[in-house]
Amino acid sequence: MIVLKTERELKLMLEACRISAEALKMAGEALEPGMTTAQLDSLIRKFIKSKGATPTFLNYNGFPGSACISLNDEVIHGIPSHKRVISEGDLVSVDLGACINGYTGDTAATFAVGQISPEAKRLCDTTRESLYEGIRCAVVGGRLGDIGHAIASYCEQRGYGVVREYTGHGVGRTLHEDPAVPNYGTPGRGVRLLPGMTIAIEPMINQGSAAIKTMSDGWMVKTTDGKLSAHFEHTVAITRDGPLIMTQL
Amino acid sequence: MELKIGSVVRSKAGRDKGSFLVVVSLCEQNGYVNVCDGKERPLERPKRKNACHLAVTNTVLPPEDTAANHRLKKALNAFASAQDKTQGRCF
Repeated sequence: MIVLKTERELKLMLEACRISAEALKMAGEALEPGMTTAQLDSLIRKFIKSKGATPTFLNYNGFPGSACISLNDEVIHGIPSHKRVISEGDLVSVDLGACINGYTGDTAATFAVGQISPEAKRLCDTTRESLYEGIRCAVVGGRLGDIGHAIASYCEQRGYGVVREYTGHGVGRTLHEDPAVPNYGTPGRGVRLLPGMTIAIEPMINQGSAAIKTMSDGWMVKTTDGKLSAHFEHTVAITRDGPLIMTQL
Repeated sequence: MELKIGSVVRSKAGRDKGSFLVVVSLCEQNGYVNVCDGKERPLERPKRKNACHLAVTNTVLPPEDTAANHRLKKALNAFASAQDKTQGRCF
């Protein structure tokens, strides 16, 4: 069931999205070579709690961290660990959510630690731009297929693989609401977009093939060819005035 | 998150690995809890498990749902099917 939010509900949700966006910005600034993913997770948890919110991911279906922190060839759902040390030249994808007033915000970004290769930078830039290509299609009267098609065609034209096994989702009172928002699709097909819908659009783009594998911990997803992957995400509200990026500061 | 009576957990090790269970009592021995699922592990025959072999979720079942095997089974099935719906959706 797709839940359409009222103006009042959107205002409440904006607060959760703002805290999520601030936490992501803080995480990006705190990143430095030598720190572990568990240390970064702890900083994120403390930040979200200091704002009076709760980390949405913590214990969600048994996930042990406040944020998913995935390095290099890890696509998504990296579990923060004291053994995973961030090094110079790494790509670090941070995905987090904050819940306050009964609503949740969800956002993600891939950060570069120090100097990265031109190929890695191109991957990050393309993934970020593909997210905005998708957001541009999130207008009243459009279809979910328009968003997916915009993302997939933008990335595939540039030679990248679009992960198909995992999708974006509706977000609001819970982290995962209907509809599923795939990063591929046919224009003009899929659920019709209506004012009040709030969706998380999140392209997961691989440098090589789109093939992925889930690791033995049951969470972490990696590329099968070991090549880099990037992930960007925004929570977007569909309004009569166009898409409203709720997790943009 | 602290384990408490009624907490829904996912088993990380053992023959029940991957399945959802409910904490029905905390053992006196530190770090162990008794878990049930109302079917393979009914309330009359709980399984003692090391807490480090369990992934705790945010869900805590109310006492009435853990009062009888059929209630427990129904509540866990509802939880598992809600979790299934989120499969394939990224965080």
